[in-house]
Amino acid sequence: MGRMDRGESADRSVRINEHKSARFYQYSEYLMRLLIAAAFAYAGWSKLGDPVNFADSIASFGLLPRAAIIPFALALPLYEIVAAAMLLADRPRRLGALALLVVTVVFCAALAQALMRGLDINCGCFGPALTPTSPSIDLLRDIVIAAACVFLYWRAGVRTAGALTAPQSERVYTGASDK
Amino acid sequence: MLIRDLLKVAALALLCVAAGLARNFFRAAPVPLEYRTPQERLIADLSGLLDGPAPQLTSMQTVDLDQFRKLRGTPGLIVIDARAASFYSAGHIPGALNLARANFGADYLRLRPTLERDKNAPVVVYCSGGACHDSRMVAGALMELGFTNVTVFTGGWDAWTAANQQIAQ
Repeated sequence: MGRMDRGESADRSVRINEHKSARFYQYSEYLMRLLIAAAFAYAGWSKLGDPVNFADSIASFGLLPRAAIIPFALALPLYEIVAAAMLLADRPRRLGALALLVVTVVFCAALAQALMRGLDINCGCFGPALTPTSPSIDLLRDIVIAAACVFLYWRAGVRTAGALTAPQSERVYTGASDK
Repeated sequence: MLIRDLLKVAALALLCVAAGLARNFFRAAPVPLEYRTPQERLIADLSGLLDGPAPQLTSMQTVDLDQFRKLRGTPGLIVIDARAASFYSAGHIPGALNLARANFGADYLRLRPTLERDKNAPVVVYCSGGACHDSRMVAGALMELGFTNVTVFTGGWDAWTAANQQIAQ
């Protein structure tokens, strides 16, 4: 009884709560990685086979100089697929998140300027097959993706690689709690 | 370190550019590195119809001056001047449209609404006449595009003006 017991049970409940929130972050991180990697892998894959169509989309944004359009159209699908794979892997996932963040920010900037200039663009984000959405929807979607990539980049830097069952909040409590 | 990570991302990007270019190079039909708009590609494709040797005159329907003059009353007849635009504006057969061999793709796109109204309509193509091949080449290209009734007026502009016929500008 007394202060010691209260301290111990307080420690235990803090540990359980930290464990719960850590698990929440872990699960949301895994889910996010899966969803974003799947989205970018699909996006890259759908553009891989039709560089000419994708190049037309890029050109409609009026940003890149003519000479850069085809090299960009050839490179981006590969970049998306590789970065998606990195995101799913263990060690490279931080770089993968950053790579996707960079490209998403670029897309956001391109979409924003296209909206400001009132350009009639065709996003071409998910290849020629999908029906085109409005640039504002694309921009919103990309902002959300960018936020997720920031989160993933941060999370990958906070902890070292660990399985879900590894003890997360292994902290040392020195008896009485330091409230 | 964020800077270091960004540099690694930049390296990844460059790698992907190299890989993309390499992939393209080894494709069966590599995409040309110089970007062309859809319009430009269409013009290039149309002009590509003129590649290769001019179709032989013997394989084409031809008309001489008298036959051509008789034809001119035909309803729906399309007369094509295959010479360059500068010649056309200096003087052409009245009613003729300029579909220059030297500017085929762009000219065809411009005239497309008129021409494609009826691909079975009678079409007569001329150029300067004599040794000029342009009329044959344009006629050949039109036939490849699906026009069924294409004829070459072999005498051309020379024959027309020599007979002191009416001209337009």
